[in-house]
Amino acid sequence: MKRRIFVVVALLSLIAAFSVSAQESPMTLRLASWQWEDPAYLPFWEGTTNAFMEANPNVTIERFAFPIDQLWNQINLQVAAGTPPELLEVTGFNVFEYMNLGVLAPLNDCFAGTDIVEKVDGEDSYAVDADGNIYALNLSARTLALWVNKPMFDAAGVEVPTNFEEFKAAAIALTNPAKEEFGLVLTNTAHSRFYESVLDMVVGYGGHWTKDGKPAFTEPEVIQGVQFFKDLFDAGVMPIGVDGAPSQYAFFNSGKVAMTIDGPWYWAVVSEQNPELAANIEIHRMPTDSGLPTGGPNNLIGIAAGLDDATFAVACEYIKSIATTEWGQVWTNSSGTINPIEGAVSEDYLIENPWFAFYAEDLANYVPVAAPGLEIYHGSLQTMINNKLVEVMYDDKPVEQAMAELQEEVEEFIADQM
Amino acid sequence: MTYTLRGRMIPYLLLAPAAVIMVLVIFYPMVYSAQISFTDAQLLRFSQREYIGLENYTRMLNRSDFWTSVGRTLTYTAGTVVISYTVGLFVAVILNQNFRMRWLVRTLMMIPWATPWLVVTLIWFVMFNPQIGPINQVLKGLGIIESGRTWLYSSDTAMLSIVITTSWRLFPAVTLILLASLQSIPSELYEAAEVDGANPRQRFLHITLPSIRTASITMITLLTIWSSKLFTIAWTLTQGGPGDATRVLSVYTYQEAFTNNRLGRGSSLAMLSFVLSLALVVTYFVLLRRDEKRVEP
Amino acid sequence: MSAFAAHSLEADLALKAQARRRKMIAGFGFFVLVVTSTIAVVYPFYWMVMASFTPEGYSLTNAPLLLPDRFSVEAYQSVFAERPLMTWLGNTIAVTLGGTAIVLPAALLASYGLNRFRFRGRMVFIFLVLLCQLLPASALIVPIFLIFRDYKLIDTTLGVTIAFTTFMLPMAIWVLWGYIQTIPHEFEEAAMVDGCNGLQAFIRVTLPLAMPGIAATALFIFLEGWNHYLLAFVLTSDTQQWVISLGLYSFIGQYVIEIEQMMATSVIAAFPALVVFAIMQRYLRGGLSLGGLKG
Repeated sequence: MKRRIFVVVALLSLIAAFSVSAQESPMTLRLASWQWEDPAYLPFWEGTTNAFMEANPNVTIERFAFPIDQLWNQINLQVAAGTPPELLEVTGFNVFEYMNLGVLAPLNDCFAGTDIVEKVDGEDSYAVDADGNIYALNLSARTLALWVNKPMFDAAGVEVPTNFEEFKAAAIALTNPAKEEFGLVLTNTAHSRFYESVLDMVVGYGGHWTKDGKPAFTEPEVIQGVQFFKDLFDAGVMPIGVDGAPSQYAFFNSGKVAMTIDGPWYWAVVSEQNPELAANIEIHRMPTDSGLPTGGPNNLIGIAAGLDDATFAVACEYIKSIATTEWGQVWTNSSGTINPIEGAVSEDYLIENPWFAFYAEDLANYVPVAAPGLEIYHGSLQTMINNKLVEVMYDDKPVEQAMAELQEEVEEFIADQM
Repeated sequence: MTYTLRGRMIPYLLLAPAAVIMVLVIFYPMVYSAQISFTDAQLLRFSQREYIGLENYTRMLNRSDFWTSVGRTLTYTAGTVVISYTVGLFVAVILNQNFRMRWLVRTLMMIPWATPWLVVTLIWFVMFNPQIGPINQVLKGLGIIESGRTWLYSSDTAMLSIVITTSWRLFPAVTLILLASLQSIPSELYEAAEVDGANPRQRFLHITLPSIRTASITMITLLTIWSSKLFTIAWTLTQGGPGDATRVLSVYTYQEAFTNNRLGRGSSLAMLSFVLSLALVVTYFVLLRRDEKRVEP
Repeated sequence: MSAFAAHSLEADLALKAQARRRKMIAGFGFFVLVVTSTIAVVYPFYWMVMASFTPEGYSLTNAPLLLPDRFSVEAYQSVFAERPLMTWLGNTIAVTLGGTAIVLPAALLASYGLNRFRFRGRMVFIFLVLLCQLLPASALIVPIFLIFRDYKLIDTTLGVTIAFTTFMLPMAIWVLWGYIQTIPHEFEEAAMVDGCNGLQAFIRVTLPLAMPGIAATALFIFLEGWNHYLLAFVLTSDTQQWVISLGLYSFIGQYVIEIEQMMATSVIAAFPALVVFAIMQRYLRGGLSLGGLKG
């Protein structure tokens, strides 16, 4: 009898010890992000991870930090070695490739029984595959808009353009080579922003690189869009050789350029570098015929596939802990980009930053940046498209010919993937 | 008997440390990479790779863009070798003279080599910039060109631009090695030649050039190897464009392996590029052996 | 006799004056040549230094030719305040010197062996040294990462140092072999006649003679290591283990490049390398003279 009790007690204490140790056993998760050094996002990442570690003393969240260009190569190496960082921040561009190649784990089980799906605005706010599985939570959505240097417009007596015709006329009217003034600045060398700038024009004519999921470079809307950009380029209204965001910013910040197209994050840059100009900036709808902006989910977070259940469960808890209005506001307030969770854009923030209202409203209208149907090839497509566009701009290759070549190249590329 | 055996062992002992490092740290990854080139490996699904024999190779060899890329690589390599060697030799000959502040000029000439590749590309982005770049400003100021050129962005100047950038970064290596070699020419040779009435040109042709022959072959080989596999410049400055004007094999390899996630194919491209460099280097090698045979009867 | 002497003296003076004039013109021409070629080579770097002393974002639209109209040291202040620059420099020095220290003796022995002995497999070895350098780096990223991970060498100074020997060693052997080849055997043979054994002859005679070549090789691999990026990138994920060429990338953000700070960092990074060169370059002086053989 005594002996039996002893066995039971021993068993019970063993179980208790085991369950305690299971709960308390230290666990380390790595969170891969390119924003660990960025003051605009640090309040969110530091805040959420510290809060989570405080609530779960046995868990440590380590930074897996690299600048954005190198982060992917580092993550890919870790994936190839079978030891991916447990938590992955990804972009709206490579999320599709990661989803498609099984790098990310489905989050449906993780989100089951929560109201996260209802609270996050719109179904585009997750990376969802054809079967309706969710692979990542969207942290920030973005669109582009027209930024106007109002004093330059006023001095020249030009109205803010609302369609292609007015856009071109305004750009030409505001260009003054003698004073080194330009009507417009856009990236126009092989760079992701070049792809986007030209796509903005294509979308302005109501087209995209693909139609029904297939390459459609020879469609009239695409040709018109590329041709429009080429006409602007040839008209000398924009500085040439602009090789990415920094030089694009630098030109507009200098106060000698009347228009640029950019996202809400640019606000922080311009107000720091030229506060005087920032006070006189206006933000408007895209000056194209359709007026639609390009955009979409920008930063997302997911969990690496292939983790053991316990690790997955903790990673899931972390993601659930950041999908709240409170953290959404932290994100929006510190970064100036829209966290799609309900209430993330607070009244107070809008009162303090009236310029932001346009972005918050325009978000619903966006056309995705990655070619619909070919999202998983976004990186490769972007390189091919950019290289062809450089030929159009700088070698004067006729647009129709260039687009026909591109169509062939992309079709060949896709066939090669099958 | 034992003595000769030991004597025979000496060269192998001398080579042993280097051989150990080479086998352990260099050949192992190379063989690994060769192995990957016979699989359908995707970087993101690396563990699921399967052997597919020569398929990657046959596929690549049958593609016209592979052969275009080979052509671009040869142009890039030839351009870089010729320009960096010529400039490097020119500077080495200058730096071999005695003049005041020579140490300073020598150090200044090494500056490009001390500049990280990333920064090299950033500086030359600005140098070549069509709108604000110093090159256009200077050429316009001197009246050599009338309107600005779009160096990196036009098909006809993109290759030249990346060759110039690469050569700027590489020539100091040539200068350094040739300088060391020039310094070893006994001054008596020049004095004797002067007494015999040889003019500077003759002295250069008959004393200087033959004396730096070995060092030149060394450096030309290294320049060939470097530039045929150099990736940073062509990728960062032009992304292989416009079109495929600067898509050298190293860029093509990177795009396949990392941008397009097809590691197996990328590795096969790397092996093909290996063969190409090998063919170039073997040419020098044959020259070298002929040279040695002449020296030792 | 005296007339002849006077004439000769006059002619001699005229000849000397002419020679002096010619020498002066040649000297001036040489001076111009040195100055212009130095400017042409240094200008891009000068531009970088200049850009590092401008306010944030300034240099991208105003690319001044000679001097900026605004001047600032904020880039230098912020790189020291915001980045572990000293740690990165320390890592760079450790791996570069470490790599050089491992590679140089091994390369010296090997190139001596290759030059002074004719043995079976000699050409094969030389050929292998070349082979080592032929594979494009992007094909080695994955294998090196996986192998070094298996040996727990990721994020360690030792790992990066070992990796650096992979490109330093073949270069060093190749350069040194070529150099030692140019030193005549006769010197060593003379020493051996005087009673030195092979090794002593090598250390006492060939080593000093090869000093310019050894110095050049050391500088060569040091500079190559100083700016090497790829292997360091593959083998370190911990910021504290970065070398400076990796740290430079941290100025590239998603939306901005802090170009002035990047330029400032690379000025700081180039400085130690150039100081090493300035000190070492005096060893490039030739020690070889025919007199040495006779004496």
